[in-house]
Amino acid sequence: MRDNYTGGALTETMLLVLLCLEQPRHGYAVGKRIAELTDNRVQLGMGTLYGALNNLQKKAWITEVSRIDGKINYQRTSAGDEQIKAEYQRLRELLTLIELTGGITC
Amino acid sequence: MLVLKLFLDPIGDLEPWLNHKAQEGYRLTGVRGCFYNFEPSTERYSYHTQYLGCNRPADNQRYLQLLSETDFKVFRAPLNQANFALGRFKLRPYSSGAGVFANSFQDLNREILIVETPYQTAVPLLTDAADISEQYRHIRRTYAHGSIVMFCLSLIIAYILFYKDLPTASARFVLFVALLFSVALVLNYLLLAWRANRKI
Repeated sequence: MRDNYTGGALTETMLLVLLCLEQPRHGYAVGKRIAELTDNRVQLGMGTLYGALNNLQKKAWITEVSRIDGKINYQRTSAGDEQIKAEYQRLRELLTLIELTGGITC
Repeated sequence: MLVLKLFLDPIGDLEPWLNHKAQEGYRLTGVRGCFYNFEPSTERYSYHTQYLGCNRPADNQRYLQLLSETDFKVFRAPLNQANFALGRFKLRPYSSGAGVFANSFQDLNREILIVETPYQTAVPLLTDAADISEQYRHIRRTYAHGSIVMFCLSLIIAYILFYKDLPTASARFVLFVALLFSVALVLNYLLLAWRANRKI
């Protein structure tokens, strides 16, 4: 799954999965949490969710912390925290650009 | 109810067929080769499929582990239908990593994943546009490989049938097998090279 990482941007899926792993959660719980946070606007398929978890683990932005009842729990690493901060900064710059050029006040 | 079902396009046609059976009031209970076992059900379920033939076996195992965290039922169906051989080994240049050497102890004849979910809360397995396009690339590679091999086989058979100056029948058979193996091997390596050098 592509995440446009080399361009400095995270996809919505990757960002939401990272946000939901501020505490240890297993994969399916992450999908449910995302649906809850977005009021069911974003419902991740299991294949997409697996791809996102796999990618985030390869980049060491999340790590496996425990296995309970056959479920693997993941949590964000410090590198993942830095990615969220960088993404927050990028989105703030975009919002400012919209306000400056689009005549919209956010 | 045991149903024998063969598809011209198993990757694309299996999901709509299963959902049609679900609409008729049946629930899938098992898959073995091209035989699908159903039981009558008052509750309606939704079925989603995904092609796993191009993935590494370790990735597929991790994916299945994630699915085991849910309440969904999971089945595996073969891409090569009505193929009941045991202990086979197959070269798959369109796959990646250890998936290039598929064997019956891992993912051979279990290339299509079927996931059953409750009808009211059904969500496709792939919801991201990038994932869906990658899935189509996998399918394209698989069918391209199969088409090229079958086309070359047809050329070789035509050559054998219409070339009349070969010596004995056994020599003709050995030549046929040797040519088939050589061409298939060369094409497989060309496909691997193309995959490695493509810009996509």
